[in-house]
Amino acid sequence: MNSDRLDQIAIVGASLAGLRAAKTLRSEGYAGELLIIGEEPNAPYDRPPLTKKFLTHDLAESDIRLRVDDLKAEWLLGERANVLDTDAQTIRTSSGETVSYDSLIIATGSTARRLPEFPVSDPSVHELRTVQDALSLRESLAVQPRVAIVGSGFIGVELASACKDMGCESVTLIAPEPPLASLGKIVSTAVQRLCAMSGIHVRRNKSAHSLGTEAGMSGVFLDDGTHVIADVIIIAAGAVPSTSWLAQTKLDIDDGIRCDQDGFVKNVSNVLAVGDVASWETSGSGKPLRIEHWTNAVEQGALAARNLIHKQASRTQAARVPSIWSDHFGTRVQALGSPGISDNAKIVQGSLDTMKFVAEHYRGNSLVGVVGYDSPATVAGYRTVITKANEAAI
Amino acid sequence: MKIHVDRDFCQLHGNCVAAAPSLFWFNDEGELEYKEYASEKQGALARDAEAGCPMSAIEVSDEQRST
Repeated sequence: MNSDRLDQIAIVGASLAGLRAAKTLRSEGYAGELLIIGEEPNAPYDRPPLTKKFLTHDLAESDIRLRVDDLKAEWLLGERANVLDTDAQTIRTSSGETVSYDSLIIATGSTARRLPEFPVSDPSVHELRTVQDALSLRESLAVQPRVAIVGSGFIGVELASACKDMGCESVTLIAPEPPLASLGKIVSTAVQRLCAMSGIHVRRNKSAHSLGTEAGMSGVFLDDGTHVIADVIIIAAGAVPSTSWLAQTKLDIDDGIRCDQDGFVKNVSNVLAVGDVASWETSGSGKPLRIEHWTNAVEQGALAARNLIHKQASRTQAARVPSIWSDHFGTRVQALGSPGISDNAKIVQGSLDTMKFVAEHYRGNSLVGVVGYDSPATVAGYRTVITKANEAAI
Repeated sequence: MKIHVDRDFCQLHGNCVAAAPSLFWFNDEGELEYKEYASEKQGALARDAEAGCPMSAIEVSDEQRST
C-alpha cells in the first residue's frame, strides 16, 4: 500500500473537530475525495448552546448549525462507523457499506457517561450530549419541575444555571467533588457562592445512589441514605470518549485514542484523531493529554489536517494549552492550562466578593494554570507563560 | 484580506487573540482591538482566528485594502 497516496480522505465524526479538519484540508489545497461519516442524523451543530440558550431561549436546530459550505464532500449522516480495518484501510458503516481511505481522521467525540442506577430509559432521567437530548430535556423543563443534577462539572453547573433561568421549582446539584473541581478550589468556591445566590441546593461530597421514592415523592437517594425530591433527574457525570467501535483494532484506546504530538494515531498508519476522542502526547513530558473542550476540538481539527497535508519537515508542533470557558449564572469563567492539578493558588486581581477576579495556580513553583471570572483580557495575557509551564508540568 | 468583528456577537472569549496575536489583542481597557487588513502571510492566522471564535463573530474576506 502506497502510504503517500492521498486521494481519498475519510473523516469519521461530523461535528466540530471533524468539520474543522475538513475545512482545513480544503483550505490547505487538498483536492481529492473527502468522505464525512457522522452518527447523528442531524446537520452538524454546535454543542455549547445546548446547556444554555438552546434550553432557555427555545432556539431551533437551525440556530446552532455549523457552517459546512464549500467542502465538496460526500456525506454519510445518520450512519455509524462500526468496523475499522487499519491494514486494509477500510471502514464498514452501519448500513453495511465498506469505504476505503488513504488517510483517516477520527473525530467521534464522546458520549455522556451513563450510571447503571439511573437508566436513561426511565422517563425522568435525562442526559445531555446531543440536540435530541436537549430537545427532550427542554420539554421536561417546560413545566418547571423539581430538578436533581448528578454531577457538578461543566455540564452540571451550566444546567443548574439554565434550570434556574427556566424557573424550575427547585434545583439540586449532587456532587461527590466540589463544583467545577477541574478549575481548582477558588473556582469551586465561586460556583458554590453563585449557586447559593441563585437558590440552588448543593449536596456536596455526596454521591447519587439510586432512583427512588420516599414519602410518595420521586427523586434520588444519596449514598448517605437521604433523599432529594426530583421530577427530573439529569445525569451530568462526565463524558466517555467514543472508542468502543475500535476495540478490535490495534489502536491504544485506554483513555481516548492515543496519538503522537502531531495527532497521528500510534500503532497504525495513516490515521489521525482529533477532539474529545483524542489523546495527544504533549511536547513537554510526552505524556498524553485528552481535552474535552471546544477550543481544543477546533485547534486539533485544523492542526491534524495541516499535518496530514504537509510533508514531515513542515508539520506544526503543537504548543497547546487547554483553553476553557463556562457560562453560568450570568457570568463567565475562563481558564488556561491545568488549574485542577495545582497545589496552591492565589487571587492576583479582583476578589471573590465582586465575582470579578483572576487567580494564578501553581504546582510547586510552576504556574500551571490561570482562571478568571469576568476578566477575559487578563486571562488572555497569560497565554504564553502558561504554555511553557503547562507542558513541563503535565 | 479584510477582517471584521461583529461587536454584537463578540463576547471577549479571546480565542482570536490566542490564535493570531499579531492581528487581535486586548487594549488597556480590556476591549478587543484588531487589524482591519491582514497580509497574505497572515492569511492562515486570520482564518484560524475566524474558525476559533466560539461566537462566529469574526469574518475574514478576500477584500484587499484599496491603495
